[in-house]
Amino acid sequence: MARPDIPAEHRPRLYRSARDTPLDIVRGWLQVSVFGAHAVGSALGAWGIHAARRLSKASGQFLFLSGFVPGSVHTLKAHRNEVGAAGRDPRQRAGRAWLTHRLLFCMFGALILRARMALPLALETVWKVRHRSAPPPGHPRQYARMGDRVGVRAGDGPGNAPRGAFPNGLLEVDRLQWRMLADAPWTALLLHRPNYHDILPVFVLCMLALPGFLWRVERAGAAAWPTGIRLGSAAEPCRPRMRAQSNGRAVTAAQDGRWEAWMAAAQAGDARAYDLLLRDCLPLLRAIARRRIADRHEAEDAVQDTLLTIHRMLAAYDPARPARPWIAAIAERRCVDRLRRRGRGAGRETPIDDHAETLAAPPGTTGEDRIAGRQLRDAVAELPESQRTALRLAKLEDLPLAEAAARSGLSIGALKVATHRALKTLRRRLGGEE
Amino acid sequence: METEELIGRLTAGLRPVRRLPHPLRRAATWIGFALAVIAVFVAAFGPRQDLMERLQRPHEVAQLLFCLATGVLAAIAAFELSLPDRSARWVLLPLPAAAAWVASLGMGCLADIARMGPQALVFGASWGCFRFIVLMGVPLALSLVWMLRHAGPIRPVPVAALGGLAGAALSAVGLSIFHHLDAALMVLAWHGGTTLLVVAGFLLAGRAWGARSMPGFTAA
Repeated sequence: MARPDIPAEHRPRLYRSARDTPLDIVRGWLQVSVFGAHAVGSALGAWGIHAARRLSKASGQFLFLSGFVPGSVHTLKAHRNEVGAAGRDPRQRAGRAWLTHRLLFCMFGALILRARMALPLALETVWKVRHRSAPPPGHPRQYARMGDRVGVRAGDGPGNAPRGAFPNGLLEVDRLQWRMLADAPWTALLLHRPNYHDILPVFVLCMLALPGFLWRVERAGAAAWPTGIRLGSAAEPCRPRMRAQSNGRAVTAAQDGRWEAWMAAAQAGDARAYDLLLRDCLPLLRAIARRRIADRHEAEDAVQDTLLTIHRMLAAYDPARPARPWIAAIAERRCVDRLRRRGRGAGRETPIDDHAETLAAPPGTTGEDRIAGRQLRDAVAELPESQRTALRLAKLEDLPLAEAAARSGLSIGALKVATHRALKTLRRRLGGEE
Repeated sequence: METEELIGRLTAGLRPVRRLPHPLRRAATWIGFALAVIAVFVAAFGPRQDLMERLQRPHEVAQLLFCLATGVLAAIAAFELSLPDRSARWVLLPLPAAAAWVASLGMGCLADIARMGPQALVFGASWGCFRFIVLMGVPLALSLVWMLRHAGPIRPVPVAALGGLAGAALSAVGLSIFHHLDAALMVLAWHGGTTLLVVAGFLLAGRAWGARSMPGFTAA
């Protein structure tokens, strides 16, 4: 199906047209019928594709509809990356969705059950609310709670319910079709409503049809889709928008885990691997910083911040996970911080453009430099004559020692001593700095 | 400094580091530690006399479990969020449990009203609760944040807030085991309110933490 012999970067890029007419028609029909099912019951949905298998229920249609969406995503991904990656993605998504759904549903169910236990309502109140009339005489004026089995047992029909029980044995838990959950709470782990289990095969069939789509595109190329997906020839390339690529996972695969290996080696103290890693990821860091921060210097500062943060957080990296998202996330965070800090600082700071001339002036033209120069000249003037001459010849004119000695009339040794003493005096005068 | 020079200096300063264990394992370590500390305190104060009787009531058990779940999930979320490549949505993990905790307390209030009438709305001060949750929860949360000190430059505010939530919620569990508070309204106000206060305090502290732990490079 996918072509593993072609490296990922040479595979034809996948282009997408703006609309996919066949899919739009199917989606449109489903949405119209969902609306119809809501509006006039299942009369509208009784013909057409959902006549079978209770698909006339609105929730069922949503399920059916959602079967197509992973189809297009899978097809696109399988072409861009490879079949394995395309398969992993929906699995992860489905897992996440399932977990979230589970959690929410369990909490919701628990809340409702607790609510019914905490707020015991008289059965007659329930009856009144539901039937807008007084309950029949002989109805027990007792309190019943959600979990109580008021005369309802498997096989109990309306006719053989015990006397005094709620007529036809129906409690709130039954009306909501949650009896199964009340009896066997573990069924909550399966699907959200036990009576929708039978819709599952349809969903699975939808998903099973997807490799067929893929095969068809693979065989017939662009012609497979009259107006839909085109390979490599459309006018406008679609920007990579899928998560797996935007946070770098797909690209990491192409790097053969180099960064991960370097990170692991750096954790063990291998400076060479660390150097390779930092230099290799520098273009990525710069790209992220430039994209976020317009100012070039500021962006480079953000890159350095990122490097420092990577250094600090080295121990927190887990080599089993891709390195690129890790590094990219740190870079993003540092850029955002820098922008934020600049936004906060902007109110308190004043641009110093007016002083640019002062700061950029050549040495010797500022007041401070002039004062320092005068102090130095005064100090030199106060030196003894022999030392001044030695200093001038040996240090300022930078003559060789022999020539300086000849000109000053001193021996080489005496010249050296005089120069040394002169420097020492000056140092003492001007603050004793080396 | 040039970036290449910085890389050179970082490389030269590289020391082997000990890899941090998986966040779930570290979370389990902290939760174990926190529960042990709280157990010691509960043992010191002695559990309330009617503990077994209260544990017979399903809604009290639910409250306790939701509160425990809030603390545990907040700790897990804090450990996950402390790593840069984790989704920011981990912050939502303890919210359903926290909502269920507050909802179960609210439901308890309604049940009290149904049982006792207006008497259930009598409100009193319970500074003992406040003191226990603050004195117990804040050090616990600080120990969590200390374990997560590497998260400073990444997501300081949510990590700190979740740490506060974890510490305060677990303390509230401990408190419920030995302290006498019968009215759900009081529990809601003093346990829930103090927890909220601790979380707010850690939220504010998180900002300062983030500002302090950012690399201090300026444009100069």
